[in-house]
Amino acid sequence: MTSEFPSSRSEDDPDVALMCAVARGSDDALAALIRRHQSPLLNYFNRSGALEDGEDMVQETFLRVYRYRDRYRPTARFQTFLYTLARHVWLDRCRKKMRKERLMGWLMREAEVQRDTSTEALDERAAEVQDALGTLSPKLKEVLILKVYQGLRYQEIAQVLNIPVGTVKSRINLAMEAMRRAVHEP
Amino acid sequence: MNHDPLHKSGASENEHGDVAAYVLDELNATERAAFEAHVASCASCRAALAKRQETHALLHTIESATVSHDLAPEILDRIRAGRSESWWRTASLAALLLIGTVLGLWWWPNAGSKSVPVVSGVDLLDDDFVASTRCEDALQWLCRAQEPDGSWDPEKWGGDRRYRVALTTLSAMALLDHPSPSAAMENALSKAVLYLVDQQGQREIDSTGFSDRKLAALAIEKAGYPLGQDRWTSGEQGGWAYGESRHDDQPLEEVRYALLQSPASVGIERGGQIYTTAMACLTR
Repeated sequence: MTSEFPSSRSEDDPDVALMCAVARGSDDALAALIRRHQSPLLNYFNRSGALEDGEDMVQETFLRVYRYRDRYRPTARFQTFLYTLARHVWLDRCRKKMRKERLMGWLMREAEVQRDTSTEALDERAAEVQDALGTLSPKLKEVLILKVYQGLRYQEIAQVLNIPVGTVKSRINLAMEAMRRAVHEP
Repeated sequence: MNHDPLHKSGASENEHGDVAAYVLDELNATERAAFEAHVASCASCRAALAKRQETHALLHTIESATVSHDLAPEILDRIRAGRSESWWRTASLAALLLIGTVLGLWWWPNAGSKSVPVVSGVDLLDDDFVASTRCEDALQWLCRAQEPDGSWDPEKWGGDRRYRVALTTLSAMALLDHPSPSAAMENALSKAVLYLVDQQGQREIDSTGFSDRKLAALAIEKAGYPLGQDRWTSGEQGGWAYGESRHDDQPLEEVRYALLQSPASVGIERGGQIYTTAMACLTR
């Protein structure tokens, strides 16, 4: 975990004031942040592959927001901070699941480990896209999710993943092309 | 402008990137205007743009989920009750502290000229401690000290064999808490958990009693190994079992509370002041 979360363009972000209030001990501000971001976060986890325990991970993410409240710096957009923590929650979950698979003696590819199969609620086309998303490598999938579904800017994704902006751009391109091929040429 | 931006690399990637950046609204007004002007006169980029727009539209066919209820009260309750993950984090850090103290201060003098990182100072029980070099060194040392069967052998360090399960459990807990464990740590953790799993149902195990078995069950569960149910019981043959209805089984929260007392119950209360301070951290 990095000790600080630098970012840019925080002046227009209403969440920054709320997060600063959380750092000062305001439960009301934390509740407001939870209500604003709980559904987008749920979607982040769902699209990453967690369809069964997404709400648990949303809760865990906000517990970490509270735990690391002193480390937030208002130079960052709140989403950069939030998705940095959410990504760690997701990676922890993947690590635990992979450990479980190893302990059980099952050999599974990483992409399969990260993909749940309960897509009944999705219509056929959406299920096709969700499946295609699941075939992406973790690195490509995470940039695509953060950009397309969570709406982060390239610069913010670079900060969340601690990679250069150029790498974000190239991964986005590769991911979109891989998605196009997966859907059109399964 | 590259004429086949989707399938070429090198210098063409910037042009290709502009197509995706345009679709994903990453361009500023000037860049956007320049791109649109170019696309108007470039058939291949128009084709590339159409493909990207189609893919973008496809990605949005996945419906957005909505959280079924307001999570705020539940999360705030968990924070107020102090039942967040920090409970386990603090417990396992304290376990590492205790292991380092027990092995380093008392047992290590019997082991010749080897060196061991001694963890001390409960003021370090936070994330900086987890990331600290001393913590990293301690965990790496733990990995090297592991027995081939996955356990940590107290006899090797001058302790009683009955602490083998407890010592292995505490080592597993310390490894479990590492935020980004190395492959060696993951391997050591897996071996430790499999060792603990092997102990369940054994007629004779190196354990001092029910408390350290419960602690072991908790570590196994935390590692992701499926226990099946939320209740642990003492085993029929001296090990431990799960999910059976017996008079002495306990719900999860009681087991977790028992964990707070487990270091004492397995005989490593010899830490004196350090142990007392660690327990204070655990229970506050």
